[in-house]
Amino acid sequence: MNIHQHMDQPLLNVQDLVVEFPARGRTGTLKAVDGVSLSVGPNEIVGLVGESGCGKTTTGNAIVGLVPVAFGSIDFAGKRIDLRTAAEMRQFRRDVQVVFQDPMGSLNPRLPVGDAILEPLFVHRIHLGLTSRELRRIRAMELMGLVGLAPDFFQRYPHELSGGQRQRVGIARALAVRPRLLIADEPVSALDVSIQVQILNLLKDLSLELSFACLFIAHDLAVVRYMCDRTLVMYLGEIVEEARSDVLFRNPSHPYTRALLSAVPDVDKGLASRHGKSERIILRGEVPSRLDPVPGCPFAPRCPQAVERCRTEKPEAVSLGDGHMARCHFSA
Amino acid sequence: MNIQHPTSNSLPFQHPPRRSVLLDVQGLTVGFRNGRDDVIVVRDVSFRIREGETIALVGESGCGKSVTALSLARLLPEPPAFYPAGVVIFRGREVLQMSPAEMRVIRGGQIAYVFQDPGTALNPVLRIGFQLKEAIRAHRSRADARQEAIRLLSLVGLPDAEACMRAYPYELSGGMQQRVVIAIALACQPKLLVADEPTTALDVTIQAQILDLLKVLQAELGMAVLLITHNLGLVADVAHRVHVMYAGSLVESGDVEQVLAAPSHPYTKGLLDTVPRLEAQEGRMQGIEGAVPSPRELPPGCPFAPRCPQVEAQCRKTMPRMVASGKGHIVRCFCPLSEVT
Repeated sequence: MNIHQHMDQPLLNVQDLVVEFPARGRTGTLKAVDGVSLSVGPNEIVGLVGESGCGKTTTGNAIVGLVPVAFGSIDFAGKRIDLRTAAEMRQFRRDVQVVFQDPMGSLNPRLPVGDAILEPLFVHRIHLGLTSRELRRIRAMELMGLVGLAPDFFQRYPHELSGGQRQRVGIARALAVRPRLLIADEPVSALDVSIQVQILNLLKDLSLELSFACLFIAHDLAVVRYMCDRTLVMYLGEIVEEARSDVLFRNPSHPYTRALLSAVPDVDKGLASRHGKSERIILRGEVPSRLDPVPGCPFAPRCPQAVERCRTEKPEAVSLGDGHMARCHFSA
Repeated sequence: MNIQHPTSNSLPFQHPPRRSVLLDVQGLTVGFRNGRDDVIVVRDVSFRIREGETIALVGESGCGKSVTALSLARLLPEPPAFYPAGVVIFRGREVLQMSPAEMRVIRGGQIAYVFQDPGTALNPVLRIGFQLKEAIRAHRSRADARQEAIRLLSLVGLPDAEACMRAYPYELSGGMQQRVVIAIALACQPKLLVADEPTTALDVTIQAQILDLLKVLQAELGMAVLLITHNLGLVADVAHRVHVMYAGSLVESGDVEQVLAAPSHPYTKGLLDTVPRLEAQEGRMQGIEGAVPSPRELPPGCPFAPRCPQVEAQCRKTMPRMVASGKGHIVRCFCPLSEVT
């Protein structure tokens, strides 16, 4: 949808991002994120999917400076972000807000909802014209209204709230400083399905209404399909496929994306499989440890169609047109 | 027994043979005693499981599905748990009346459990081999426990069973840990395997492996499976019959195809509409407004009435009874959705 628009001027442009952690009990390092490039256009919702340990959360954390970046560049609104300059960092951190997975873990248990929502304003020392207590209260109420919380929640504590309500507080808090980009890291995976949709629809509506972009990090492919204009698939620290969501889900090119899609339990597929042969691709083995990287394609040890070349030669990103990219020798 | 893991195609869906009833739950009601305050969390739940069949119990968190599952082998501590009404008949015997000695034979021996988080199901300071042999020795011969343990580990598809015997749980990945938990559950050749969200803590590609394993094992060993899940996609994949639970009560029961393709209860329909699908469904998904009521604050009539899009006056006053909605399909609703929708 926004694919051409963002090509002109992406809001966020990350190039060759590398994040390394010291390997425990060994010499050397573990590359949690291994050369990730991604961009998010203004008003675009971009999905980053992958299984646990693939580096999707670390990518998000590295963008906002929560973990140190070993290599690579981050441009925001056409400006190179130097994560070491405090002043620039403050502005950047105001423009980019994060909503985390576990709303109980990300809210201060001793802070009532109203104060939690207003806290970012104090952290960023912005007044937004909110000179008096009363004006701030009105702003908090306004934000609570945006995310669908009744005014009487103002004085309540996080433990008095349900999971869905807490996540609404997390979103209101992130939106308090009027960010241009929201990084939502598994924002609904801790919630029940009937509540998930409420939060997903809320995020979708707000991104249009307040026109912010969103990097949506999740492991649930169906949720990403519903939310995102474009989707990036990560495996072992690398982006293995990227395309517009409708293209990626209808016509996946990388064998990992195909296996991932076929592994998702889905009502329609499940009912269809009862009348015929199941088409599920079952991968062999587990995600390999990143302490012993394989020389070729990282997916080769589990790939049903791997050949000798895959084990020795690392595949380059292959462009399949219209922004569709896959990192596989067989994708062309 | 040779378990070959299919690399490209999983086992096709298998319809169960019509066998005798293994477990018959009638009117099961479970409460918790908290001082002078009793809370009923499961009300009047009835269902049957036949030998070799896979039954799914679905619902959102707090709806009582795990409590129902745990009470089948009376794993809830009594007190605070108590059973004011209902019977659980397992292979012709009433479980709720059994003595502790009789219960020990049933638990693990005939009804085995696999829980959501394998990390907490295994003892972190004991080797896998010890934990597996412990389960075998509790119900079966002591002599060849080691041999049997190794056989079980290969049965669940762990590559190097000998090495695995010596490993501690933390040395294994989540998927491998869950395989170990399944091996322990299978140690005594149970008639019924209760799998409570067995794959929720696992990644999807690993989840697919574990589900495939359960299907293969079930076909080989002929055990019945009670699958507790909130994931309707899983239900469509593996179960024969499904029971939908809401706020402690069953609201709809039937064959999976009927219930998922043409739900009769507004809650089931709402639940189906809130599940994002992989197949493109354009447009906006509808959530279910509001939240599940707490068992302490249940409304007087139908528990779903406050959230129901087609609520009527009588729904708020009287609890509806289960009524037939088709062949083997029952629903607890005054105005069930017609099959044509």
